[in-house]
Order: sequence, then structure tokens, then C-alpha cells
Amino acid sequence: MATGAPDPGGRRLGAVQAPPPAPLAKQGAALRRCLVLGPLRLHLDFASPALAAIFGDALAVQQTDADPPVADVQDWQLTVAAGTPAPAQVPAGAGGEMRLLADADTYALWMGRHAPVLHMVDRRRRQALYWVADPAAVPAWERSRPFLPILQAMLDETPWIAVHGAAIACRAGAGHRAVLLAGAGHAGKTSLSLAGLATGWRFAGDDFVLLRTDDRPAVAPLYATARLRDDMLAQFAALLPARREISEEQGERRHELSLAGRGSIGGAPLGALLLLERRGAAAPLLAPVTRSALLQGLAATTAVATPGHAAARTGKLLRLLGGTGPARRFDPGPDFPAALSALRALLA
Amino acid sequence: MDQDLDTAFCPAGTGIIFRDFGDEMVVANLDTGIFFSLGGSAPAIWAALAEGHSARGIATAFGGDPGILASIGGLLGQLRAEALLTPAASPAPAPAAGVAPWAFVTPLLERFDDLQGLLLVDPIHEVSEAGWPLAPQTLGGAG
Repeated sequence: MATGAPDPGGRRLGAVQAPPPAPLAKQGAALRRCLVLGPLRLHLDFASPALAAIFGDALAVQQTDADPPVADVQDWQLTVAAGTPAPAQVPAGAGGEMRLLADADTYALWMGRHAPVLHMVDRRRRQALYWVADPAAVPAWERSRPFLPILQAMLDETPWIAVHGAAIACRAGAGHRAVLLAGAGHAGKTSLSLAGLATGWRFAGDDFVLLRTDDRPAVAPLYATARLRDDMLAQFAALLPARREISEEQGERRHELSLAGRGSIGGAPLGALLLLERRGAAAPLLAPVTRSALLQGLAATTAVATPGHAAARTGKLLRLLGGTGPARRFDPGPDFPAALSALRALLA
Repeated sequence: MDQDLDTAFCPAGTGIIFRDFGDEMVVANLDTGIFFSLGGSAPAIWAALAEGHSARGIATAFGGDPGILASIGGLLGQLRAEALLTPAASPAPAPAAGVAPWAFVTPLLERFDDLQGLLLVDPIHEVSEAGWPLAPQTLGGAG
């Protein structure tokens, strides 16, 4: 991580700065992880065991000590730090408004009143910093899907994008094919994707997944977590041992699940794109959908959760919508096995 | 307005992006977070308008029926009201004859504004030319 070096670009933000790296090195490999997320090989440095404990199991990919056999992979360094000294880029008067700087070289997002969190990405050096004032102040949604704006910024120069949606994959022919489930909150993304996981489907995520948007559309996992509302608990009692904690968000209790080792976590080529909507169908129902509605379903929460570079990111989604397989509106009905059977038939 | 029928337009800035999927055109206004679905003959009309052809020229390409001109003018009014088009510096160099490959079908414009609602809940303040609000005590790279 570059620290305080003169910035030849003369950018307004100054060089990306992290806490001094030397103490980090002395703490050994336990605080370092190397993960593969779609096209990214992420070298993670946690500045403390507490931070590693908070975030270490949330990311969905296999840990590896060797170079993984992934073509076109980009190496990125991400330092995760907390407390003092605060990076110079933390605005005066913690809290306040969210702040965003997104240009060709730098991505910086201060979460303001939502959390004392700074996300910074130096694209040229392929280095990033996640800093939080106090690890105890990290909100539950951030613990469940950490570093999302940073990862999105890292993906900007690739055909991939992190999107708000769930995805699961089943065997189809010689391999697997995935279905992406877009939809607003409470549409049923989590319950349907966990129902798939419980019955042997490959699980790529219940909330945010990686999506390849070029002429080889595909889905890859981003997080090995899921967030169950109270009303879903009875249907997924078998997952209770995976519960890390119970959080509360906007008056709703959430059971935060860590799914590492709880089933098949992975991605696959994208076979279908569905807009999930519960309209009271008695049985699974597939219907036509406009691409505008799908774009809205994919882009809305994505744009809010990962602000910046909206034109390029929406352009990726538009390209995907022009090249993917079946696109439908899907009401899964009340019965998970029937819904999964309908999806399996769609992907066959 | 009638004078708009003879005016050349172009997309109103880099925040307006669009893609034609054949059976539907999607236009997104990234500045407001509003998406639009264009159906019927609206995709062909949008494409021609975005190239700088006038509404009257496009109506002529579709056969010149006064009802068609009124319909195109109505769509143009909607697109203008949504701030998707702005007057262009110069009209399209070629006549609009080729912009109407199929029979005229009443143009449709559907609006999707959920994202706008989300953005308005908590607007993000993009850093202006004034720069990132560095904490005064840390200026100079003490962090």
C-alpha cells in the first residue's frame, strides 16, 4: 500500500493512505488472505485479529496459498484497518453526509451518517483501503457483505459487475447453468436461493453476486453469507447452526448466516435472468418481462449500494440484457420444490 | 410546441444512455435514476430524433399522415418533459427517409422511477471541484 507518496496525477484526493504496513507484516499470515472473486485475486491484509474475525468468513471464495488457475485475473491489494491513526481522507466531523469521488484513477466513498467507514481505491496501483473508526461500529449489513463499493470499483475495468440479486445453479448437460434472480427487497430472493442450496443447487449468493456481462455471461459468488428474516426461520431451521448473530435493521430482525462449508458455493454460466415477483400465484408462473423492468430490478439497489460510475455500470447491465438467455418474470408460488423444478426446466 | 416539430434534438448529456433490443428500447437517465421502456414505433422515432432528425421529417418518413405527426409530436413532448432530449447544434445531415423501416405503430413510453425514489432517500454528495473534504488536522499526509 502506498502511504503518503507524492501523487504524480495531482488529484484532488491525494495518495491513498493506509496505516503503516510494518506492524501488519509482523503479525504473520493469519491476518492475510488471498481470495479469488470472479476476475479478481484479492490479497487481503487485516490490521488486527478483530477485523479478520469480523470479515474473514464473509467473502465467498476459496482461500488459496498458490496462484489459482484463473485466466485474466487481476491482482488487487486490500488493506482493512480501523482506529487511529485515521487516514487523512476521513472528513472532518465524523458522520454527516455521504461523500463520493469517482474518477478514472480514484474511487473514494465516505459513508457518513450510515457508518464511520471510508472506502478507497487507487486504480493505478490496484490498491485499496477499507477503514472504519471502530470495528464495533460496523453495521450488520456491512459485516455480511463487506467491502462492496471497493469490490465494485475494482471490477470497473473488467466485464464483471456486482449486482443486487440472488443466483443459484443446477446441473444442466455436462456442466452447471445459473439463474439470476433480480427483484426488490422481500421478493423472495433469499428464501428461493437458500431452498436451492438446501437441495443441492450451487449457491452464488442471496443478495449480491458477481455477474459477467460480456459475450460469456456468467455468475460467480461474492459472499458466503445470507440474511434471514424471522418469518423465514421456520422454513430454514436446518441453517440455524450457521447463524453468526441476530441483527436488527429498519425494525426487522435478521439472522446473519455464515454459509461457508454449508453446501456448494459457486457460480456457473448464466442460463436465465428472472425478475422475481410474488403476486399470489398458486403454482410457479413464468411470464414475459420487459428489459426495462429487469434493468430497474438489477440496477436500483446496486446503484445505491455501490454509487459512482453509473453510466459505465448501467452500460454493462444493458449489454448483459442484450445477450443473455431467457428473461422472464417469475412468481415462484408457495412451494419451493415446485419453484425449483420450474427453474430446472428453464435451465435444461 | 409546434416549433419543436422542426427542431433537431440530441440526447441531453452523457447521463442519457440507450440500447435497442429489437422489440424494446431502453433509455436511462442516469442523472435522475429514471428508466424508460420505448415500444411500438417509439424506438425508431427515438433513434431518429437522437440522430438529429426533426419530428416532422420522421413523420414524413412514416408516410406524412397528420395523425402520425401528432403522435410523434406527443412522444417528443414527453421525451422533452423527461429531459431526455435537448436541442442539437445542427440537424442530421441526411434526410430522414430511412428511419421508418416498418409501418407506424402508436409509440409507447413507460416510465420506471423506483431508483429515483431510492436516490432521493439519501442523496450522495459527489465531490466538487472544491475537492475532498480533508480533515484540517490531517492535511499534509499525517494519516
